[in-house]
Amino acid sequence: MSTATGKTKKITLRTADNQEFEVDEAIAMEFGTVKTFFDENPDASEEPIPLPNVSSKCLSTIIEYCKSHLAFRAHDSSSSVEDEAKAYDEDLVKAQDNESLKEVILAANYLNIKGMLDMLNQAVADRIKNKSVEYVRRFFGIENDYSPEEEAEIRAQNEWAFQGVDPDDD
Amino acid sequence: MDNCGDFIQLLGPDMSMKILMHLDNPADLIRVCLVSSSWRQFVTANGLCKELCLKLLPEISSVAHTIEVNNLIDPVKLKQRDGSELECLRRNQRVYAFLARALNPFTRKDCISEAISASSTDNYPEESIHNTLEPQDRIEHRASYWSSEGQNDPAVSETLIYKLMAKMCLVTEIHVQPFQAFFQYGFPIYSSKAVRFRMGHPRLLEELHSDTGDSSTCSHKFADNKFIWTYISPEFPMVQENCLQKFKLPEPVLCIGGFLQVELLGRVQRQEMDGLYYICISHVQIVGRPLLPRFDIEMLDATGRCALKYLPETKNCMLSSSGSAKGHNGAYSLFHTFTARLLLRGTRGWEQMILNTLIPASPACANDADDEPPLHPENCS
Repeated sequence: MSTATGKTKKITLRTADNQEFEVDEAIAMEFGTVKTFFDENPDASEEPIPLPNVSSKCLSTIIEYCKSHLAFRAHDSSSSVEDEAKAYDEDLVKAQDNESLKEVILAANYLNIKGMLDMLNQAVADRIKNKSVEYVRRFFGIENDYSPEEEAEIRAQNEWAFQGVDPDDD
Repeated sequence: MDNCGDFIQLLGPDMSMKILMHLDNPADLIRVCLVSSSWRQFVTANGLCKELCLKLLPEISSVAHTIEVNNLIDPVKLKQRDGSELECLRRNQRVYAFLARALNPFTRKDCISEAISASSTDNYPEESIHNTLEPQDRIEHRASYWSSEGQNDPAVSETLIYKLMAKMCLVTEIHVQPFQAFFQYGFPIYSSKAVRFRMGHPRLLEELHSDTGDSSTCSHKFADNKFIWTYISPEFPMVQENCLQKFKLPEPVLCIGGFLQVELLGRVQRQEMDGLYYICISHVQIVGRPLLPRFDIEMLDATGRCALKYLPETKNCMLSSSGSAKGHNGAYSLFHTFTARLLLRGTRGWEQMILNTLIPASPACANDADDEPPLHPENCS
């Protein structure tokens, strides 16, 4: 899909809250769903692509991520660039609170961005590592549907798993 | 989106699996099960605990049969076993999670904690099985090896029984070094033709629970009939060379019960002096992953079924009495170094034996040292 002119092709994306984002083609192609769409519709018009499941907040985060990682990859792969990429990822994740993290995962999943998704999954796992059951429930917004007796039984059967858990300080 | 509902449902099973698979601590997975019953259902149905266990301990795949089919391991002492498939899955899951947590993350070469008995011993105690715990074939001027009694028939085999440092251990290799008699003409090597290994537990459950007992007489009485062997290895040929020979089991084996028998099949070396065939071994090592301290099993019955246990308080039988041994003469410091090494294995039986041999008049010295202030040498005899 090369363009005749030297101009970088731009693709417009429209989010759930009706905001439009214009991005370089290269970045949009990082989104698996967008890429598939264009592969199947090579003559698609210049109309904005609707992304009804993605908020503008999420999309801007994702666009930033893809832009940065494209730039990282453009460099020769050296360990210092890898470290930079890792540091970028960590900062990105740190800046998200639990709610936004979940939103971004769902968006990245919907847009089918594998690299970002793997990174985010690890980040979620890291957030619940060694945390108490109550913390994990709150994090994921899950209702406890165990009776007190059932819960006590499971705890007693697996006593070793409930030792040394981080205190809930949030 | 303030409440995105059930994350696992929203993301779908594949995504949720991926997140949960990033957890590398089995305790986290168990806690995840407690979040809600649907989460537990998800973890159980997808075998996540087993996946994690396999990731942390790839050798466990050889043991899956023992866990899932033979049902030899109960995660907790259950009075009756619910046969439903779900209960089975849940039980297996707990076992895998427990093993992933409880087995030593590193393979150790020092899995033997005690030498129990030999089928025969030529000169007791100089040539007793206890010498096989020493890697050297001589200590100072004295040779260190076990010797069987002499036989006319070279086909007569011998067995050595060892206790492991934990009642459950994932054993991968056994190392055996035959003894070369450096003090005999021609330096004969008293190896056997082949070796074979068995693992199991004591026949009578009462025997298991007594760690004390007269280990000094036990060690050269034939104790083989006191054990039930639940695993038998193939035969491995032994070479007649003075080297530590490594016998790798075809697959790692979970020793349930904590006892291992080395069977030495056939003799190759005659002793010139009396024309009889002997087998002599200078060192035995068992390599594997024992349970970490605080994790234990309880044998339930003679079939080798056991229940997993977790002990929140560490039962520590190590002496903290280095103060009382200092300032003594050479015999004490030798005793202290020798015992200190053995004490690291937490074997009270050994302590008792050494103490009885070296310091017959003062067992109270070492035993009560953690409760009393360090004793002065004068008080000790």
